[in-house]
Parts: sequence; structure tokens; C-alpha cells
Amino acid sequence: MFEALSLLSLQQYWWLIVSLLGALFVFLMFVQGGETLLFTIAKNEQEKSLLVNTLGRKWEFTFTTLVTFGGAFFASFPLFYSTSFGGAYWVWLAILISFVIQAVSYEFRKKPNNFLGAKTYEIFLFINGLLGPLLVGTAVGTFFNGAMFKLDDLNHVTWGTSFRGLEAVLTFHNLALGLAVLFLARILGLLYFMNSVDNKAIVERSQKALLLNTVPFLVFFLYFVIALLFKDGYAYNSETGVVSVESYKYLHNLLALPINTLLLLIGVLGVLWGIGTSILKGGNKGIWFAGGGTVLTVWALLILAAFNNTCFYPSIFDMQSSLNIVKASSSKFTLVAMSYVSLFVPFVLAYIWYAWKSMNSKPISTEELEQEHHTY
Amino acid sequence: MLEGIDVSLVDWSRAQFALTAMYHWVFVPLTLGLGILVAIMETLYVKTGNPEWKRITKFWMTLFGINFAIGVATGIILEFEFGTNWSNYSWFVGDIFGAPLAIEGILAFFMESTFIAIMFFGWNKVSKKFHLISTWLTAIGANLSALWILVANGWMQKPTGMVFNPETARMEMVSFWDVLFSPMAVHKFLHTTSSGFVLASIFVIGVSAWFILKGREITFARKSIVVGAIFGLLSIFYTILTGDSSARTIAHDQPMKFASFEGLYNGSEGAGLVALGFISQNKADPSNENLKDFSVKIEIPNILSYMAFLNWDAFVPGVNDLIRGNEKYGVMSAEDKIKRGKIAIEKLTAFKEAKKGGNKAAADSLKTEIMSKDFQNGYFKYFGYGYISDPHTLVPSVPLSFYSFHIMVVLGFYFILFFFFALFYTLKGKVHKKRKFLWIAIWTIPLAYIASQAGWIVAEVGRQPWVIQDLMPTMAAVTKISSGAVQVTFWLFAIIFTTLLIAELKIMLRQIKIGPKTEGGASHV
Amino acid sequence: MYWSSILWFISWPALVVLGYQLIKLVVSKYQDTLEKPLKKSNSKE
Repeated sequence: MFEALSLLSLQQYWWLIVSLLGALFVFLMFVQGGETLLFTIAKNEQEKSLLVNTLGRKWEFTFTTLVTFGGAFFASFPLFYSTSFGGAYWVWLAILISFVIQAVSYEFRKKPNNFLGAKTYEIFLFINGLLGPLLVGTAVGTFFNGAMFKLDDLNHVTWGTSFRGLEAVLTFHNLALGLAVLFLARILGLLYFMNSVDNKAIVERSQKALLLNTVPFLVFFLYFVIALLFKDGYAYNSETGVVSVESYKYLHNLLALPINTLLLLIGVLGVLWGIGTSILKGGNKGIWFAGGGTVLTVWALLILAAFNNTCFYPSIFDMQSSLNIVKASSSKFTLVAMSYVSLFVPFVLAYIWYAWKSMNSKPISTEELEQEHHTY
Repeated sequence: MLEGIDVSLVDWSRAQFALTAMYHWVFVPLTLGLGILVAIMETLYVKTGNPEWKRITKFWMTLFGINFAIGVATGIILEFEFGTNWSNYSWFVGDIFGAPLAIEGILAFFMESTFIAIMFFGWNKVSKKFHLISTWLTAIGANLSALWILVANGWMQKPTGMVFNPETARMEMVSFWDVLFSPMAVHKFLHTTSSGFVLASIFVIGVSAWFILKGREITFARKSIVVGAIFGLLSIFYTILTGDSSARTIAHDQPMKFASFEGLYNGSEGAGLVALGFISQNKADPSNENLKDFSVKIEIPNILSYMAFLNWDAFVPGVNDLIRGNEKYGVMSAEDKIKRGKIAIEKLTAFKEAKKGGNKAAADSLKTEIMSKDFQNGYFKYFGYGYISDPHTLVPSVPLSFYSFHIMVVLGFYFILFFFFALFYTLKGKVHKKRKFLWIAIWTIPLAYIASQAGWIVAEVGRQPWVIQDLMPTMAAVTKISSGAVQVTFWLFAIIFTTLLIAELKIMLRQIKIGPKTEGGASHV
Repeated sequence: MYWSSILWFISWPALVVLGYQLIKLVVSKYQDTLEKPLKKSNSKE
């Protein structure tokens, strides 16, 4: 059935899937957001353990989504994988290292004789929580602001600076997205605490902290979106593949892709609704609205970056090297084969949902932790 | 084509990959095997209803959890390292190599990470049966992730199911099934995972032996030993069987690797197997330090020919035959392969020039020629040789391959005896009296790790200088970056992983000391 | 055409299942031996 699709449709289909994985990853970074709040929301060891345990039962989803996102990107758009990972070396390695130290921290933190002490592992979690969203957001910013690479005849990458990607931080528009993602992750972390922890004090403190994180989130996010509307973008000619600058490219894309624009608006409203009702009324449903809204918003932004003949990874070093979904994609054969594999995704989502439901039917409490065989 | 790539960059990038891969492989085999062992133990609990089995299951599960986390931590680096440090490789083969990685994520990692949460935290939340299924799915998920990455690795050892497209300057997949069912990939998967079963079985027996030596938990220990010994015994036979069939695919597809781990310098009909030997330090051929022969060796005649080709008299090419060529047996010389590789590269360059110059007719005819079967099989097959200037660099480190291979094989046969005696003594009811054996059991644990690492050294050092056999040498695969940057990340990883390894060992030893917990008591740590 | 590879693949779960069945058999047959307490100095248990 996928064989009948055109190569371009397959490329678009895979961009939708990869972007959706990216969007789910941003939502699941509520784990990272939560990790930055351990020291502020918990007032004693017991409360801290509660927070670590509730996050600890979800960290692997975030981690696995990141790995799958990487794998799917590699399979469908290998030229992006080789260009960006090989080129923006330091950014990606910093992100990875922050995830490496996270992976052991939950398991090792409270185990006796753990060499570094509980505090160190908590700091590891904090570092991951801070660097993960900030750098991922900044890196995604380069989808709009471009990066310093050049490709040769064999599509081998050369990078324009020896900072190898870290220079992205110097563009404020990138950094604004990074900060917006960081504060969003913290907001989602707070909403997740309100949803999953059975402890009045923690829920109240989380509710209070929401407002403090929403203000900076809105400032950075709105700056990012408004600046985006006025930005030039790199368009490519679908016949010749030649790249050229187009003023107001992203504004044009918003107008050219009305369904996507609607998706974006619904997403943003969902996030705001989730936050707003939680600030005003409390309750445990905020995470679902804000989480769902996050997925739609990020998804729509990533589609905006690549559809309508837009280069999703512009090169500000050598314009014609810029990547778009046509140039960066795998062969048709591979995309078709992978598309069959993608049919398993709903099945995977179904068992994740089922497992999550059967495990989270009751909020986590200190009493429950005491009876548990395996705790973090 | 390779201007600006200095040797130290290639070496440091290789060192970094070796470091991260070997660290990852410290933790993974235990995960692969212990997952299955724990699932078997829990099945016994569910089937018999005997709470002792639940206690046993939970103890080994705790150790599984400690080890699992660090396996995950070291694994994420590997996946992204293909991009960060081997970006040219990533592009050249991304069309084929990326797919298994993506499938691994979608089909295996999610299974593993979803059900591991139920396995650890679901004891009081879901039914017995659902919990058991979750434990099995975690174990299967772990082994499935091994499948996909080993399919990818198998493809690097024996590229298949693809064609080179000059337009995009990369390999493109033409048959998914050729890639998945490549004998190289299948045997690699079976051999690798079953070696993990062996390692985990030894781990279980060794730790149980410690309890018996301390006079603690005797029933727990005996039962664990029986599970480990039976599963270990079956697994080691299976590992040897698949190792043998792996060697046959290697003899066929990677003759240089085969010659070097067998220490075969000069090929012959009815070649003998060097069972034991010391490689001479004297230089037999002063032009190449790799071409040394043995100072002492014990050789069993004709075995090697049989092992490689199931024919007692078959010709097995040695290192020298593969470099100099051997007309009598139709072995192409390295010079000839290099010539063909250079022609392939020239054709590609000509195509790119024609394309750039706007000469469409010339470009099209070159493309047709490059993609024709004759050219792909006669010239393109040797593409990677075009990068090679000195044929002697085609020889991997023979001593390292030879010794690693022999250490692995000798230990493999020792493990048969080990499992046999563990089972025999336990069923005779006298294992607690065999204190010497119990000590040996503890010290067999590190031996299992040595055998396991040695196996990967054979696989990866033995195929040097190739990243992709015959198609891409390491120096052409590496990301162009300052070697200083790679040195920084190398040391960063070395420090982080070593620290985490120490932490894991300390935690693991303490948990073993604490021992299995009694149900109902305060189990909170 | 891929039969040999497929058969090899099937041998993998077969190994696990065979392992389990054998263990189950031995464990039930030797239950007494495995659960027999040590005669002397077993105070730590």
C-alpha cells in the first residue's frame, strides 16, 4: 500500500512521524522539568523521595522517546543526522551526557553504598533537567535560524566554526526557544506532580509555583513566535532544488497551511487552558490539557519548519547546502519499508497507555512507597 | 578525497567508539541473560505457587535493575555516536543502517521500558499473570533490541541487499529481507545473545556460591544454581554451535579476519588449526610488522579447512595470500582490489563532474554504467580499497585477534565443565562441601566477562581497517573535527563511565551482601 | 530462500523454552535435595 505513494508523500509522512515523536518528547520532558524542581517543591527528604519516585516511573519513556526520535530521524532523513550530529558536535554531546548521568541517578540515588552519595545523584538529575530542555530547545531553534555547515559533493559535512554548534546560543531567538521549552517543562513537571502525588503540601506548593514559571514561559514563547512571523526563511525550488531567501517565509507558511495553523492555535490554547485552570482551581487534570497542547504546538511548529518548500535545516554558512525533506531523505525503498514498521506505532501506543493506566490508577503516596519492594 | 583527515583523529575516534562500546558491553550481556533467568524463576513461582521462588525472583530482579540502568546510560551514547563521530559513515549507509535503529526504538525499546516499570513496581498493582507477562516482555524486549543493532552490525561485516547510487553518493537498500536474514546477522545475533545467557548464568551461580560459602540462604542458593547451571549448560552448547557457524560465514565473507584470528599467515589446502601458540616478535617481512609467524604452536591438521568450508582438504587463504594474491586458488591480490577501487572512485568523480558541468547525457550514461550489475560486482564491490595506499594496512592486528579469539574459545569450553559440575554437585546435595569449587565459581564471573569482551574484540578489531567490509575504511568514515575535541570527549566518557562502573559495583556488592529479603518485612531501602 | 536463517531464528525461542522445561523438571524432581537444610552451624539463616 505504501508503494503507491509518491516519494514526496512518503517524505512528508515521515516528517510528520518524526515531528510527532519530537513533540511527544517535548511533552515527556515534564520529567526533566520535574527534576529541576526537586529542591524547591520538596521541603524534606520524604517529600523529595516522593517526587523522585513519581518521576522515576516515567523517566524511561522520555529517554526511549529520545532514542527512538534519533533512530527514526536517522532512518528517514539520514543527511540531517550526519550533518547535525557530526557538525553541532558539542551541543548534542552535552545533551547526551546530561541524559547519561540521569539514567543511573534514579536507580542509584538511595541505594546503600552508592559511592557518590544521594546529593550527587540529585544534582545529576538537576543538571539533566536544566540542560536537556534548554539545549534541545536551542537546537530546535536552529531549524529556523540555521546553522554553520557546508556539504561537499559526497555530502560530507564541514562546520563553519570551531564551537561546533555551541554558537547557536549566541542567537537570541534560539535561546528564547530553549528557555521557553525549559519553563514549559517545569510547568508540565508541576502539573504532573499535581496529578500523580497524593500529598497536600506538595500539590499546594506546585500550584503556587505554576504562576512563577508561566510568566517567563509566556515571555520567551511569545517573543519566539512573534519574531518568527517577521523572519526570513529559506525556500527551495521544488523543480531545481535551488535555495533562495524568502521574506516572511514562516508567515507565508502559516497562511499556506491552514490546518497546521489551526493545530498550532488549538495546541497553544490547550497549554494555556491547562495552566490557567490549574492555577485558578487546582485539580489534577491540567497535565492532560497542557500536555496534549504541548504535543500539538510542537508538532505544528516542526511542520511549519519543513513543509511548503521550506528548508528545515538552513545553512547560514553555505545557503545551497541547506537541508530540506527532499534532499535529506532516505531512498523510496527504505521509506516504504519503514512505513510498514510505522503501522506498529498505534499498537505500541495502546500498550503504553494500558500499562500507564494500570500503574497510575492511584496517586503515589508515602504509605505506598513504604510497602513497595523496588523504590528509587 | 580525504584531505584534512589526520591519523590522530581517526585513532581517537576509534578509541572513543571502542571505549563506549566496550563499556556498554560490560552491562548488556547480564541484562540479556538475567532478564530471561528472572522470567524463568518467576514462571516457576506462578506455576508452583511456592513463595520461595518469588523471593528468589525478587532478589535477582533487584540486581537486574541496578545493572539495567547503567546499560541504558551507556547505550544512548552509542546510537548518537554514529552521527557525532562517524558522520560520513552515517550518510554513506544511513539509508540501510538507520532502519534497524529506528525499528529497534519502535519495536524493542518501548516494549522494554514500558514493561520494566510493571515488572518493578507492579507487584501489588496488577495480577500475577499480567506481572509475569511483563517480566517476559521486558526480557524479550531487551533481546529484541540486541537483534536490531546486531542486524545493523552484521550488515557492516557483510553488506548485502543494497546498491550504490552515484546521484546521492550513498548505499541504498533494495531488499529489507536480505538485510534482516543475512546469515552474518542471524548468527551474530544468536551467538551474541546466547553468550549473554552464559554470562548471566555464571553470574547467578557465582553469587549463589558466595552465599553458600557464607553459610547463608542455602535453599535459595541451590535453587538459583540449578536454574543457572541448566540454562547455562544449554546456552554454552548453543553459543559454541552458533560460534562455529559464525566462523563459517566469516571464512566466507571476511577471509582476512578469519586468517588473522586463526593466526594463518600462509594458506594451504587441508589447513591445520592452531590450537595454542605464541606469535613471534621477529619480523618475517621487514616491510610489514604484521607479518610475523609463530615461535611456538600446537597445530591440529586439516581441522581449519573443515571448520571453514566443511571440507577437510579445502584451501584456506592466509594473510599473505590475501595481500599478495594467489592465482592458483583464485585469490585476488590487494593491489588488484585497490586498482578496482580506484576505478570505482574515478567513475564516481567523473559522474559528479559531468553533473556539475551540466553534461546530462554523459552523467546519465555514467550513472547507468555505475549502477549496472557488472560494475557493482566487478568494481564497486572494492570501492573502499580505492582509499588504501599501502596494502599492508589491510591487515588487522593479528596478535590481538588471535589471542582474543583463543581466550574466548578456551573459556567457552571451560564453561561447559563449569556448568556441568555446578549442576552435578548441587543435585548430589554436596555443593556446600565443595569449597574449592565454590571459590572457583566466584572467580569464574570475571572470566565470563573476559570471554565476552574478547568476542567483541575479535569481531571488531578483526575487520579493521573496515567500517563497512570492503566498502569504507575507518579513515573515510570519520567526522571532520579537531582531534582535540574528540580527545576531550574520550576522557569525559572514560571518567563518567568509570565512575558509574565503580558506583554500580559498590551498590551491587552491597545488595548481594544484604541478600534476598523476607516477604512482608520492611523492604524499603 | 531465507529458510535456513528463519530456522536458525526459531531455534532461539526453542532454546529458552527447552531451558525452562528442563529446569522445571529437575527442580520438581530434586525438590528434597534442594530444600534439605544443612546439618551443622546454620545459625545465620
